[in-house]
Amino acid sequence: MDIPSAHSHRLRQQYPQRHNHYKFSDFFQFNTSEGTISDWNGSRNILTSEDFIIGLLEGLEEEVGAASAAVMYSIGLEWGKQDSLFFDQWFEREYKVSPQQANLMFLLETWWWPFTAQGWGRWEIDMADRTQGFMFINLFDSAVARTLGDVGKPVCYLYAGLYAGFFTEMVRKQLSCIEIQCYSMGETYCKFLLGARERIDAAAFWLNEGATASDIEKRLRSGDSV
Amino acid sequence: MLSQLQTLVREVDGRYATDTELMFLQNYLQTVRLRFSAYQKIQKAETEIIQQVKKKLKTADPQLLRRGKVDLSAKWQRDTMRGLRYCAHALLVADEEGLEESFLLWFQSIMRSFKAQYSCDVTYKVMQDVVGQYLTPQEAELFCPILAKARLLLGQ
Amino acid sequence: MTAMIGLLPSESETRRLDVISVGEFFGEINWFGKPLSETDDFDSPDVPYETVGHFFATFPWHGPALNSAPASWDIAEDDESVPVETDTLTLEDLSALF
Repeated sequence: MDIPSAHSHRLRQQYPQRHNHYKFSDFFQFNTSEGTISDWNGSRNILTSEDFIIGLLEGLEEEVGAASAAVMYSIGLEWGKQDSLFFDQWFEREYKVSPQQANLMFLLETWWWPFTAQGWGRWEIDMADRTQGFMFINLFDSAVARTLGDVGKPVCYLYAGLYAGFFTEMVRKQLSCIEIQCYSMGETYCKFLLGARERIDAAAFWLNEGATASDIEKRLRSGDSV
Repeated sequence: MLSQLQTLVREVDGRYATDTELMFLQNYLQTVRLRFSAYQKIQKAETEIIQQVKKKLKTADPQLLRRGKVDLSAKWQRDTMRGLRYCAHALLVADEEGLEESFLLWFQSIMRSFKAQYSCDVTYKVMQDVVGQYLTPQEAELFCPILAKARLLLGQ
Repeated sequence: MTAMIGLLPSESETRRLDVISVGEFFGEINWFGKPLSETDDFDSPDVPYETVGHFFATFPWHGPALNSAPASWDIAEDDESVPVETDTLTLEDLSALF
């Protein structure tokens, strides 16, 4: 990943205090002479189509079959980890306060906005159950699920890994994440469960047994364990 | 109008636009004088408008701009000024879509982070009443729906 | 087509005018500057200007007239991060819960 340097983003140089910069034409800068695209935070970007996602997923499935889910999760994990380091830098640069000192929801919303601008979808964090050691993330317009359509199984392993990787770095605890509801299963949005490993393993087990997202929510809230 | 203009520029590529395609410009031109005069009035009265809104909010609910011991009036004022300016800009160029994309959607997420939806709801409701004192009914008819959109998105 | 004199069309009138051509429309707003009749009541705030150019000329396009502080995107001390209140979560709080 490029070392972040926001110096080359002209709009940012001109209006460094403009925190609402996520409109497509504001966030991205098209450097036509170099043939590159950079964003407000100094990262290089590339534009891809759905073919890229299909190619990646189907190519993997061809190579490793059912293990492709685990591979996608691992890719997400590494991505989330790397991105948290990048985020640490640009957040502080943008708001002059360290992530540790910031309002948590504000911090997380700020982290996700570039992803929304990039087309990864909008999200909603549900921390209502945090005191029980887990939380939910609702994702709207998953790039992966919308690309693949209704295939009857969850497909957003990349996102699950991303959340696990990012949050693990941010809270400095080993967290896992699993998708318990997916657009690709006919639902209107995707739902992820984030928590300590044992929690997620339990949920995975219940999922395999045919539990729905709301079954899992109920069981977690009532304190069930494997 | 602005967003529609961008779309038009993209779509006409190498040909002349049809009358139907230019209709939005026509609609814009029919209201442009109102928009300009309203914009200037809002700019001129900005400080008063915001002070009046603040006064009404505090009168109705002294705790609205406080969080325990912390007084959030200064932050509210900065945010509200920015919101008013963005709304005024949207009025000028008749671009509600642009307002959403460049400001409201992001700011909505920030307001949710700070659980400030209710104060936004009340702020933009009161603001519609207050601006009515500075604008003609026709001007207010153009501006208030924009404030209402802000209220809807930020107050959720 | 004679220039339209009087009130600017209201919203409802605008809808009825949707079928006119662009050329007709520009005639209506007196874009080309035909002189208005002497019997017109110029005191009414709704009377159109003689030409659109005349209308725009009434604006301080190049002058400092209404310019207070420039309405720039930089509103001073733009600070999204409100001081953390006692009941607000931080990363540390989240970490403690897992």
